[in-house]
Amino acid sequence: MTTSADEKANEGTVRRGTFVTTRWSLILSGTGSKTKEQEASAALAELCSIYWRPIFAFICRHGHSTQDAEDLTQDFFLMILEGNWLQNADPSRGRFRSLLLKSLKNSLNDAADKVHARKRGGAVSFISWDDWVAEAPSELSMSTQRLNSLPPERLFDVRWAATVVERAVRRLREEYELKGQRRVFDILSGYLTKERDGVSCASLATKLEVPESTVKKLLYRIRQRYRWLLRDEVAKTVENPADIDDELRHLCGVLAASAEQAT
Amino acid sequence: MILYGVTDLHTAITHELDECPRCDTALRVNNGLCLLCLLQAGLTEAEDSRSESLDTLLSEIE
Repeated sequence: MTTSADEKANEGTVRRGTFVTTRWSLILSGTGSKTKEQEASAALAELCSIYWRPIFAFICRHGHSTQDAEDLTQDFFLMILEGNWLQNADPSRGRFRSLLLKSLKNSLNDAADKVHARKRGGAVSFISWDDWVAEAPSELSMSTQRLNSLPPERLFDVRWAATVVERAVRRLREEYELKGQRRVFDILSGYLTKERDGVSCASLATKLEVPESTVKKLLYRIRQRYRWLLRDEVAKTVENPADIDDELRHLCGVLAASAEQAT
Repeated sequence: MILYGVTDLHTAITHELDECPRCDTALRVNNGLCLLCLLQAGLTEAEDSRSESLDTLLSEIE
């Protein structure tokens, strides 16, 4: 999705920098009228198209071949989008991520039957794998040791975290591109985190041909904007914008725990 | 770099990755940035925004 499309999608959801409604709350409230149901259905399809990687990774981690995992991911999305997933889900519901994972676990219980059914033909596809991979390439990298130490649920969350972060960075890049400043993004985006606090502003100033004071301001701005976009991505998946911090803390906790597990 | 097809076809798997000096994790995404640090950036308090707009700053760049 382009930045302009995202901004349009955010109309009505953001007021004075505060997230008012979320896609997930829109989905959860999607009953009562045909229009509401259609909006909820479209929002759910969009979320599914964003978060297919955690699902695919989870299924692969359960030992399914790549081909079977692709088929099972297709089946899962069809179940979500064409069935009565929300109506049959736990009334307490919770966040999109946790509800999706719970449903995925249940779905995989009869995975073998689904794979066999697909091999007999008659399956319908929701995903165009090539399109999705091309649209949202991922640069997540991890060590073999870490990968092998992660249980499926944790891999799901790691993949989820990467999806959130990579979407925020992609939107940030698109915003700079729209301003004709892709080069500025390319130079500064390597310093989005405190990890790179030892940045040489003098060096960046030379590259950008601006004073060091301007570099500092540009760094501040790009970090601030990234933070907003990241929180906007998380906001889409929680029912209440007040839950953004909790969701971020959960994902941070998973990543930190994964690091400890691998050592 | 080795692509490890069993777990996630679209994840790059490497034998060795540098740990982040700040958080000690070794999960990397864009530009080799630390995934955990990028996520934690969403939790940090927004700083004082009394500075020029981005467009003003970008206008200084040819």
